Formats: sequence, C-alpha cells, structure tokens
Amino acid sequence: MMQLKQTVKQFEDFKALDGVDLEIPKGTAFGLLGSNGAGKSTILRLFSGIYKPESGEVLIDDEPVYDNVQAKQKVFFINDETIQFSNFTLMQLKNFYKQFYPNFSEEIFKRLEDAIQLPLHKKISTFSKGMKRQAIVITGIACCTPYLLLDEAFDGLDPTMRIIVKRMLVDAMCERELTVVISSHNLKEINEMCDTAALLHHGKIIFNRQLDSLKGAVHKIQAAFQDKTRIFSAQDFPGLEILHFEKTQSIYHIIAKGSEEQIHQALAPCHPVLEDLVPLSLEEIFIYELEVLGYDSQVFA
Amino acid sequence: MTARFLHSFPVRNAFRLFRQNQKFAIVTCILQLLGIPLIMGSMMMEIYTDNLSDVYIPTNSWAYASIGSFCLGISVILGIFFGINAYHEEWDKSKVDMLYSLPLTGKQRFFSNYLGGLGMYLIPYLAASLIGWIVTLAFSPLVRSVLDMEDLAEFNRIYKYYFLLTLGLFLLMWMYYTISVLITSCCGTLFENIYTNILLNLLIPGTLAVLLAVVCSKVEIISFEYSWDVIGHTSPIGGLIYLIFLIATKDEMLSDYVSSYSGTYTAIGGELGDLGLAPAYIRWALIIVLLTIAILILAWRLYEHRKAEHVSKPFVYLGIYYVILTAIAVCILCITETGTGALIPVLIFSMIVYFIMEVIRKRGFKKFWMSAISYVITVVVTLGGLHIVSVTSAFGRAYYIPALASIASVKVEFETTGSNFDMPEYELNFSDKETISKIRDFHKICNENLKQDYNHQVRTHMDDYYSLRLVSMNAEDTTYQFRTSDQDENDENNYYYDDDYYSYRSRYREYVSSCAEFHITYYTVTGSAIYRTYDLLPDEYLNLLAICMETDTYTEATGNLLENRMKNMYQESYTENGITTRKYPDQIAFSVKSPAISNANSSYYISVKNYPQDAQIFTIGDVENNLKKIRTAYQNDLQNMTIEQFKTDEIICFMNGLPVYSCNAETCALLKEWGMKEFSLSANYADLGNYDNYTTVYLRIYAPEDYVSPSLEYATNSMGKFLFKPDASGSDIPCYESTCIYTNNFGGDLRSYNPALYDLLKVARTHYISNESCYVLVMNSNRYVIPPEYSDLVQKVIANGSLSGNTPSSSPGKILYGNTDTRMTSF
Repeated sequence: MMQLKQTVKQFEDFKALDGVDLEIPKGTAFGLLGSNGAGKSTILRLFSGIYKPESGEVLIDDEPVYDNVQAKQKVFFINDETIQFSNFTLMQLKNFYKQFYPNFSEEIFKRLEDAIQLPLHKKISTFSKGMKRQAIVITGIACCTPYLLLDEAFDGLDPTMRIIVKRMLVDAMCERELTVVISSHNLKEINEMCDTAALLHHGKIIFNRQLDSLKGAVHKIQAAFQDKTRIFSAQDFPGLEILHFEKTQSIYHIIAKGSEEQIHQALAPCHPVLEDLVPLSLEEIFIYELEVLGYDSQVFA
Repeated sequence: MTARFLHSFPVRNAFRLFRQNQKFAIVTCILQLLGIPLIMGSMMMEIYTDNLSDVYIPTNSWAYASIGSFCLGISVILGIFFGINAYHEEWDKSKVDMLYSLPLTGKQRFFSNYLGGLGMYLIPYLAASLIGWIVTLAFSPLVRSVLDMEDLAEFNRIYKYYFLLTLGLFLLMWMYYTISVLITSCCGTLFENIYTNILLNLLIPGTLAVLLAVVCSKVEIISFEYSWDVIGHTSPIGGLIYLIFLIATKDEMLSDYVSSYSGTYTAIGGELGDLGLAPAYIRWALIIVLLTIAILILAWRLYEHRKAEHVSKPFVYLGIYYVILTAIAVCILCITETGTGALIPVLIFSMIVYFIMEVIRKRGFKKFWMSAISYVITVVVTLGGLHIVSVTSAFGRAYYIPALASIASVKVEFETTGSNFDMPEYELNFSDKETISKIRDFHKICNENLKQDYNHQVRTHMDDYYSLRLVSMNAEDTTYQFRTSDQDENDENNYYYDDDYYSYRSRYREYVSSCAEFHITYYTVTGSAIYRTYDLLPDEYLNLLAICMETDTYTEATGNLLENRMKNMYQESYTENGITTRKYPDQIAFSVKSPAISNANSSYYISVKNYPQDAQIFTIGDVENNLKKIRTAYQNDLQNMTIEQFKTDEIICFMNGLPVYSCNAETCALLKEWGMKEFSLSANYADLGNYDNYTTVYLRIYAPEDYVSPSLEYATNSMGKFLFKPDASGSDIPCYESTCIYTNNFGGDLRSYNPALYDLLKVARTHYISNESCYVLVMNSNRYVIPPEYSDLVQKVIANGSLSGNTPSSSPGKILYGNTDTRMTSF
C-alpha cells in the first residue's frame, strides 16, 4: 500500500501539498485528477522518492520512501518527458535500469519488445515520441516493481499507441498485483484505466473514491415543481449537497451529490412535477467539483 | 572478485557517465595521452641532441613540447566539466526524475557520480603519466650514451622530478575536480556552474594574494612572501605555482636556476626552513590531500542537504555566490589601498561589477534595494576591515612574540647586502634558551622602535627626512638630482634633471632605512611558525650582531659559509665555444680582494680574463687540511672578536667575500703564510703611476653633517656642481671642495709630493663605525673615513694642499658609517 499521511510539500512560498492523506491499496489502478498545479505530479514524485516532504509521511508498504533503497526498488516512475533517455539505445536503457531493480525480467522485456518491434540498438533520440514512450513503458514494466507511477503517460500518443500502451499496462496488472498510479488531465483515460481516482485542488484532496461509486454519487437533475409562483433556491433542499443550481424558465437544473433515492427524498417535499435524474460523467464531476471550489471555466465566458 | 568489481554500481555508473559524456571524455582522453608523453619525448630528444659533441641536429623539440604542454593544459583545465557532467541531475531538469528516482540513497548517488567523474578525468592522466615514464625510460639509454659523468648525475634526477611533478599534478587535479563537484552541489544551472567554477578557481588564490598583499603592505613587518603558505595550499592554481617552486627551491641543482630575486622562491624556501625536499613535499601533499577530503565532505553534505526541486535555481546555496561576489568586490576595492587616490573611480567600478553580478543572479531587478544594501555592507566591511587591520597592526598580531617557554627554536636571518655593512647573508638557528631570550628582547625593542613615531616616520616618509642627505651621498656626482623637503615630491619642476635620480634615491633609501633586512621565525613547540620581517636601522643591526657574535652558531655559520664558498669556487675559462665555468678539481681556491673595491662580496667566480686588479687568487692543494686550517683560524678569530672591534677595526681584505679584520690575527697569519700581500691604501696611492686607468685623481674632504640644511642650494663652477650653505655665517661657505690635485700625467710619488695626504691615507679606513662625526676622504670615487682621532691630519692636508675654501666644522653626537662603497652618510 502507498500512503501519504498529513504530507506537506512546499516549494519556497508555494504549498504544493497541504497536509494530504491518501491511501492507494495494492493492485489498484489509481487515477490522480486535478487542476494544473494541484499537486498530482508532486504526489508521484513523493512516492518515487524524488521529493522529500516538509512534514508528514510518505510510505510504501509502511516504509518511508525518501533515501530508502528497499522502498524505492518497489517503485518505477515514468514522467512526462523522454529527453533524459536520448543518449541511450533501448538496450542501454534496459541495462541501465536492470542494475538498479533486482526483479528486472529479461523475459518480459523481450516479450514486450518483440510485440512492439522497437529497434534495440538505435539511439532513443531518433525515436518518435510514441516510440520513446513505449520504450520507457516496456522498460518500466520489465523492472517488475509492485508499483508503477505514470505522469501524463499518454500525452502525445496517437490513439493506436494509446491502446497499445494501455494494453501493456493492463496485461501487467493482470499478470501480477501491479499497482498503477496514473496522473492525467485526460479524464477519459482515467475513466477507462482506473478503478479508483482522487481529485486534487490547491494541494488538497477533494475526493478519493472508486470510480463506479463516484459516477453514481453525483447526478444531474432536471426538475419542475408544482408551485410555479415560488422561486426555489439550493437552500430549499437541505438534504442535498448541491454542486450546481440553475433555473431556466420553470425548469431547475441541479447537480447534486447523492444516490437516486437520496435525491428523490430531498426533492419530494417541494412536490416535483418533473424529476429527471442523469448520472454525471467523470469529466462533468471534475468540472462541477472544481467549480464549487472556484475553479470555474465560466470566468472566461 | 574482478567480475564483482566490474559489476559494482560505481564502476557501472562510471561507464554510464562515460557513455553520457562519450565525445567529451574521448577528446580529453586523447589530449591527456598526448600531453605528458610528448613533453617527455621532446625533452629527451632535446637533451640527446644538445649533448652530441660533434654533430648539430636541428630538432623541433620545443614545438612538440609546446603541443604537449598545450594538450596537457587544456585537458587539465577541462576537469571542471567532468565535475559538472558527473552531476547532471543537479543542473539539468530533465535528468532529475530519472536519477533521483533510482533506488539509491543520496550518499550512494553522490559517491558513485564522484568516482565516475573522477575516473574519467584521472585514469587517462595516470595512463599518460605511465606512457610518459615509459618514453623516458626508453630514451634514457640513448641519452645516457652522450652524457658525461657530471651531466649524468644531473640527468638521473629527472626520474625524481617526474615522479614528484606527476604526483603533485595528480593531487591538484583531484582537488580541482573536487572543487568543481562542490560548486555543482551549490549551483542549479549550467551557466552558474561554469562561471562559478572559473571565478572561484581564479578568485581563491587571487583574492588571498591581493588581501594578504594589502594587509602586509599595511602591517610592514608581516611579510607577503609567507602568504604563499596560504595561497599554495588552498587552490589548484596556487598549489601548482607552489609545487614548482617547492621542487626548484629544495633541489640543489634546480635552485641554481631559479632566480633568487623571486619572492615565491625565497618565501617557499624560507617558510620550510631546513626541511629537505621529501619532507617538504610530503607536508605540501598532505595538506592538499586533507583539504581535498574536507572539500569532498563539504560537497557531500551540501549535496545531501539540497533537494531535487533545487535544480534550475541559479544558486542553491547563496553562500558560494556571496563568496564570489565579495571576493570580486574585495579585489577591486583593494585598489584603493595602492595609494593612488582612486577611491571614487574604484567605488564606481566595483558598484557596476557588483550590480551586474546581482542582475545575472536574480535574472532581473527583483528586490534591487537589497543588492544596494549588500553592496554598501561589502564596501564598509572591506575598507573598514582593512583600516582596522592597519590601525591595530593586524589586531596586534604583527607585534606578537611567543612566550619563551613555547619556543622550540628561533631562526634569525639578516642580510646587509647593498648597505654599508658588507656582511654576508646569515641564517642562524638558535635553540638554546639563553640566546632565544636575548633575541626575544631584541625583537621587543624592534617592535617598540617601530611603534614610535620617529622610526615609523623615518621608514615611511624617507624623502621628507632624508632628501637632502641624498645630496651629500652623491656629492661627487655631477648629475645627481635632489629636492628640498618643503617641495612637493609630485611636482616634476622641483627636481633637477637627472635620469639616475631614482636609482640614487632608492639606493639611499635602502641605505638609510634598511641597512639590514632582518627576518625572525619562531618555531613553537606545537609546530607552528611565526615569521616577521624588519628593516633594521644601523644601531639596531649592531645590537643584533652583538647578540649573534657571542654564539657558536654565528661562528659556525661563518665557517660553513667560508668552506662552502671555497669548495664551490668556480673559474671562468675562455674557450673557442665561449665562456665555461669549472670548479677547481683538487684544490681549494679563493680570492682575496681589497676592501677598496666595490664588488668585494661577489666571490663565487674567478674570471681568468678580467678579475679585478687588486684581487689575489690562491689555489692551494691538500684540500682537506688547508680547508680545515683556514676555517678553524677564521672561526677562532671571530669567536674572540668583540662588537667594538667589528665597528672600528680596519678590514684587511675580503676572503671570498668574507671580511678579514685587522684583529683576526690567526687568519691574517695564515693568509700571509700562503702568500697574501696585505693591502695598504697609502701604498696603493703612493705611486700615482699605478692608476693608468684613470685620467684624473680627485680628492675631496668634507663632513657630511654640514650638508643637512633645508636651505641648501647648488651652484656650478668650472669643476662641476658644488653645494653651498648661503646662510651660514652670512657668506657662501663651500662645504666641500672638489679639486683636481693629480692626474696620471703628473705621476710621481705621493710621499714626496704631498706627505700630509700620504699620512692621511695611512689612517683612512674603508670600514669605520663611530658615534662621532668624522671627516670623509673621497679618492677616485671611493670613500674613506678618517677616524676622529686623526682629524688634525685632515686639517694638515687642507692647509697644505691646493684645496680652497674654509674648513667645514664637524658636529659630534652622531653615528657615522662608512665603507668602501659609495654609500656613506651620518645620522
């Protein structure tokens, strides 16, 4: 399990993480969502032992990560850049990482390499962006670490490449109890890949839930009420955690947290004549959650 | 075992680093492999062809040596890039995630990088050194075949030098690389990294040199020369200079080739005292190694403390930036201490440099008022600090004398070359408490004298006090220049024309201010050394000499000096190939020179062609016995000699530059037994026909004291320039006369021509030190003192001769010094 306990990470005046608590159980495909600068990459760098927290704890299997070889051997971190590998060939890259990760599997590397047919002895700098990404992903998977961290891993990949990389990851997860942590702005990918996700904003975790329960937990409601003379407000529905409230003529558009049953019960006292509940997509949840926190796309409307 | 080593992380990391910096490493490797082998090869080629007796083979060995030196120099300088490249993750943002996320601790990462970079830098150097060694060995049979025995002995030293130099350079390269690692730990960008490396390597020795020079100029008795002890151990550049001079100084053969006028040479030589080459080298190497380890530990601690996110931050630790900034500011501000009056321009210049550095660091003008404040603080602290050092004489450190109990030994060095006391240079080591105590007391008096205004003024404002004495010093010269004390020394109109003025002035200053240069070094029981240097006034020097003369160390040192000079006497011989110098093989050789000749002290060479006319040369067999005899005789004489005898006894001759006094009975007897003809001034001048080299013989008599007057003027007559005191007794009274009394056209015997002058010559002294004012006789530009008891003889000569003008009166109560050289004055 990967854990953050009251973790604070600060870059000079900027607090990137402000007392964050997070648990990522083994075998999970975990998505980190968040606005720009929310602290997603910081969490990944803390888990990979690159950053040292100012306070709090960063644990992998109950061991602190920073400056701990045993803990770091359990993590492989792939960031959003590939320039650092430019001077290597794929073979050299493999040999380089092999010396640091005792569980490195030549067999897995060979299998993956055969599958995607990357040149072993050409400089990675001559590869296309997608090929570079594939190269580091197969190396990372071959390292056979229990935890694989990917920061914007699918950036710049064409749809076919995305599918290939995703398959590799899914296969690896199926083969062993691999925990994958993906940070991405691409909610669709998180939606497809992850079973759990956390939303970060301004260094704090807004929510951390399983995606399935998350999707059923926020609804878009279209409702009309019997008393047309009365103008309802969010305060009229005290049992609901409303993220968005809007009235168009006599129709109310509400985004609210809660199950269908909870919403139904909350609306009942106002005698709805129309009650239409639609579950929100992850992207909509992202937007409305952040809107509540003041991160509003309407600012530029 | 080998396989395990090769697969160990540091080794593999070194390979990784090599791969990452492949092109750069290969270029440097080629340069290094070319450097030393080319230098050694060309050197051997040069020695070989140079020593072929019959054949002249033109070689371009200098060109190969230059290429080799260039390659070696460049490859050594590039060392900073190995330090920088080994720690890519510290300044290259793209590498941070990759390298910091590896399962390594900070310590493992630091040291594997360190060893990887160091290996890339130094392994090719070691390989090149080995190849250079092989080249030397391969050439040596060929070279040996053309060398004679004497040259062969010198040639054999090449192996020692080679080892010491390559090992020394290895240590300095290690230090250089480690400094670059330290800087990399402190900087977050490549630009800052490179420029900090360049600046710091130049600024460490540079600032130390400037700062210590300024401190030493402000606190005169602390000598700058000893600053090399600091400079030579704290930076690769300083260390390299130190290493070269250390080997050159401590090696008998090389020291002959190193100019004794070099401050570095004397400093390194003096500081290490009697340490031989090996212990001195080990001491230096040990300090370099310890300091490098200290830098490495500091670099590691800083590396561990810095965070991954610090990459791309120009200076992770601002301390190093402020060290550089302050060093630059200090170097510039120290210009104000040169006395050029350039305070405002220097402040403006330093301010510009300071602010440019700040703009570079801040990438703009953020919080610029902070820069202004820090600049003001830097200026105030630097100039204020220097002022405080000056006012407090380095916080009283300048006058510090260790307690008697803590002194293990004292080294006393004094040199009177160029002054009236034509004594050899002495270096005496005392370890007996009684003498040390006396030396300490003497040192205290020196300090007290120095603290007193008068002595300080004498030393620092020489022109104001003694410009007029310059007149009397060079009175016989018709082209001297002088100024009076109330005139502005910077105004050229106040000077009479003469190109030689400055040389006269400097000679005069040297004479008055530093009749002896005195260095004292206390070696304490804890192993430290405290060194001070003084310019002694004549009476101070005599006090010091009195202390030393009582000791066996002094006589022993003089005996050594005599023996050494006799053993190392060279003869110049003229062959068709030019002048060669050879030692006398089976004889002791020495020259005895008249005290009347000016170069009496330079006696290491006997020129068969052009030795001075009044020198006698002796070559005597039975080396061992005769050397012992003369040494024993001279030492015995010196042991029995008192300071009073030293002051007033006539010098009979200079024996290889060492004075033999009339009271040195044993020595005189031995020299006479060996055939020395005693010099006699009166006899020399008796027959004027001897002086066929001179067209004219001049005689002048004067009392120097009378010239000290601010109202002196000069006038000319047919014989040249003369000095008058127009206000004395209301009339123009010539203070001295310069009259042509004889020329060689007259020839003849002085005894019959001017018996009074002949009698005067009999008592005239080339060496005389007295508290009374004396007449001075000048003949053929040589000065002789007439002891006060013979003043009536002077009156006789004046009354008898063709001298004109009034007889000057003498004023008692002053010490008068005089000897064979043209320097002579009173105090």
